[in-house]
Amino acid sequence: MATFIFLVAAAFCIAGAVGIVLFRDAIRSVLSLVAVMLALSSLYLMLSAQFIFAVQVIVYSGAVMVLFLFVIALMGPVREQPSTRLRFQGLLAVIVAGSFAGLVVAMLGGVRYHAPDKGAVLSTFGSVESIAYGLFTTYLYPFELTSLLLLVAAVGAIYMSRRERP
Amino acid sequence: MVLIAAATYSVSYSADQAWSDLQQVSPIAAVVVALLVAMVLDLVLPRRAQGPVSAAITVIGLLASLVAALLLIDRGHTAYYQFAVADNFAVFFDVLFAVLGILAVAVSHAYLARRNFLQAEFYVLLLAATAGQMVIAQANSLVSIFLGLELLSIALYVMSGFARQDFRSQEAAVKYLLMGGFASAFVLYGMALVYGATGTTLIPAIAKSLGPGSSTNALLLLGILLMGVGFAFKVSAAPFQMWTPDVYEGAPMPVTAFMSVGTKAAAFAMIVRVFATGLPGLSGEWAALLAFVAAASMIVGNLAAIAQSSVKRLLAYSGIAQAGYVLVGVIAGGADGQASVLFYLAAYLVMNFGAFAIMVVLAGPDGDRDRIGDLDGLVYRNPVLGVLMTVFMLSLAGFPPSVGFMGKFFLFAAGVHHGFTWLVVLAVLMSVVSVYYYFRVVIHIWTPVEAAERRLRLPAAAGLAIVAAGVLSVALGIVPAALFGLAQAGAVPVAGLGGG
Repeated sequence: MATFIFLVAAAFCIAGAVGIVLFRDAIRSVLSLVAVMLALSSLYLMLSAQFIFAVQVIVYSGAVMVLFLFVIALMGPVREQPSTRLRFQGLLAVIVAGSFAGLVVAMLGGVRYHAPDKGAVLSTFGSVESIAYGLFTTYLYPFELTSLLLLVAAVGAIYMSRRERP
Repeated sequence: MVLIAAATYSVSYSADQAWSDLQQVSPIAAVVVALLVAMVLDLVLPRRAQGPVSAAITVIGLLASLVAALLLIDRGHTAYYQFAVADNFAVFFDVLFAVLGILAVAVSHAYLARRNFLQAEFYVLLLAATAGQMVIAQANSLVSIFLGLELLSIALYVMSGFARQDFRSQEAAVKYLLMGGFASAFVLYGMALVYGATGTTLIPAIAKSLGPGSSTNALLLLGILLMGVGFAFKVSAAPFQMWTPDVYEGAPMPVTAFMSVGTKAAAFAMIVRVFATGLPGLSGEWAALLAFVAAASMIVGNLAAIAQSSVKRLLAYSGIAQAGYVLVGVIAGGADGQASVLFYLAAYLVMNFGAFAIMVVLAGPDGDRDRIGDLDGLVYRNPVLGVLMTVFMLSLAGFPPSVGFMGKFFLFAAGVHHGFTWLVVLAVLMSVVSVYYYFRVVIHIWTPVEAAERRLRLPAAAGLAIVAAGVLSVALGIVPAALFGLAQAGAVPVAGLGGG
C-alpha cells in the first residue's frame, strides 16, 4: 500500500514538474507547481514528518503559491480565454468526484485503515519539539546561516526595488 | 505527549560549548558583526557620513576577521556539531578572503563616489559575500557549503546590478541570477543524491562511508556528476562558462574585480573540500570529470580571449583559462597538488585583482572604460599604473620572475608528478597562446599617444592597494618559499589521491 501511494505521489510530482517547464501559460506553470508541492507534502507525511507536511501545505502550497499567482495576475497580460480550458477537464472532474464519493462511502461504511507501523515513534519524530530541539542544538549553525542569508536577501531586494534618492 | 518530549530532549548544549564553537568561526563572526553594525548605522547617520563610515566599519571588521583567522592557525577543530571546521585549509582561505575584501574596499570607494552610487548597501553586500566565502572555506558539511554558496551568490547578484541606471549592469544581474540559480540547483541536487547514497552530509563521514562498492553506486556517481557541473559553473570553467563574460562586462568594475577572484577561490575551496576530502575513494571518477572540464576550459578560454576588444571580457576569458590551470592541481591531488592550488589562488588574488583594480581607476563618471583602446599610452598618462599593469599581464601570462610563473610551475609540476602529463602538455601549449592576448594589452599600454592626453589621477587608497598587489606579484615570484610554506601547511592531507 505504501509503495502504491508513493508511486502515485511521485508520478504527480514528476508530471507537475514537467508541466512547469512545458506550459506556455504562466498561470498553468504555477498551478503545476502547486501539484508538485502537494505531492511532496504527501511524501513527507509518509516519512512521518508531520510538521514538515503541515508547513509544506500551509506555507508553500498556500501562502507562497498565492503570492506567485497574485504577482502573475497583476504583472502579466493573462486573459481568460475559452479556448485555453483543458479539454479533458470534464473527465478529470468525474474521476476526482468519483474517488471523493468513494471515500465518503467508505467512511460511512466504517472501513478500517492500515494502522501506523508499531516501531515508528510517531509522537516525537518530525514533531514541533524535535524540530525545535534540532534547530537550537545540532543544526544551530545552519539555522543561523539561513537567517543571515534571508537578511542579506532582504537588503538586496530593498536596494534593487527602492526609488532613486534625489 | 509534551512531557514525554521534554524528557527526551534534555538540553545538552552548554554555554562553554557555545563559546568554544563561536571561537572556531570567529573570522566569520567578525564579518557578520561588522555587517550588522554597518546596516544599523546606515539608518541613523546623516546621508553624507554613511558612505565613509560604512567603509571604515567594513575595513575594521575585515581586519578583525584577519586577526581572528591568524589566531586560529594550528589551533582549529570542528565546531557546531561538526558543521564547521577551522583547520589550516580553512584559515588559509579566511585570510585570503579578508585580504580580498580589504583590497576591494580600498579600490571601490573612490569609484562609487565618482559614479554617484556611494551607498552603505554596497559594503553590507560586500561583507555578506565575504562571510559567504568564509562559510564555504570553513564548511565541514554539505549543508554549510550550500548555505555559504548561496550567501555569496545572492550578495553578488545584487552587487552586479548595483549600477541601477546602467542597463548593462541590470542585464548582468538578471543573467547572473538565472545562471547562478541553475548552478545552485545542480549543486543541491547532487548533494541530495550523495546524502541519499551515504546517509550523511558531514564530509569526513562521507569519506568514511565509501567502500569497494561505491564506484558502482549509481546514486553516488550521479551526485558527483551534478555537483561537478554546479562547481564548474561557479569556477566558470568550460563548458559551463557562458555567463562569465557577460556578467563580468556588465557588472560595475569593482564588483567584477571582487568576484573574479572571490567566487573562483571559494569555488575551488568547495571543490577540494568536497571531492578531495569527502570523496577520496572515488578520485578516479571525479578526476576524469574534472580533467575534461580543465582541458575544455584551457582551450575555450584561451582561444576566445584572442578575439576580445573589451578588457573586461578578455580578463573574463583569461579567468576561464586560469580555472583550467588550477584544476590541474586539483586533479593531481596529494599534498603537493593541493598546496599548488592554494598557492595559485593567492597568486591569482594579487595579479588578477591588481589588473582589474587598474581598470577601476580608469573608469569615468558615466561608466567603465573597458575598451582595449582606453589603455592606449597608459604608461605616459600615469607611469606607475602603466608599469604595474604590464607586471600584472606578464604575471597572468606566466613570465618569470612573477608570482604567476611560480604558481604555474607548482601546478604543472604536481600534474606531471601524479601522471597527468597530457593535461600539463595541453596547459603549457595553451599558456603560449595566452601570451598573444596578454601582450596585446601590454602593447596598447606602451603605445605613444598625443601629448595633449591628460594625466590620470590616482586615488590614494586605490593606489596603495594596486602598488601592494604589484609588489607582491613580483616579490612572491622571486621568493615564493614563504607563501608556498603557508600553502603546504594549509593543504588537507589525504592519502591515495591522483593517478600516479
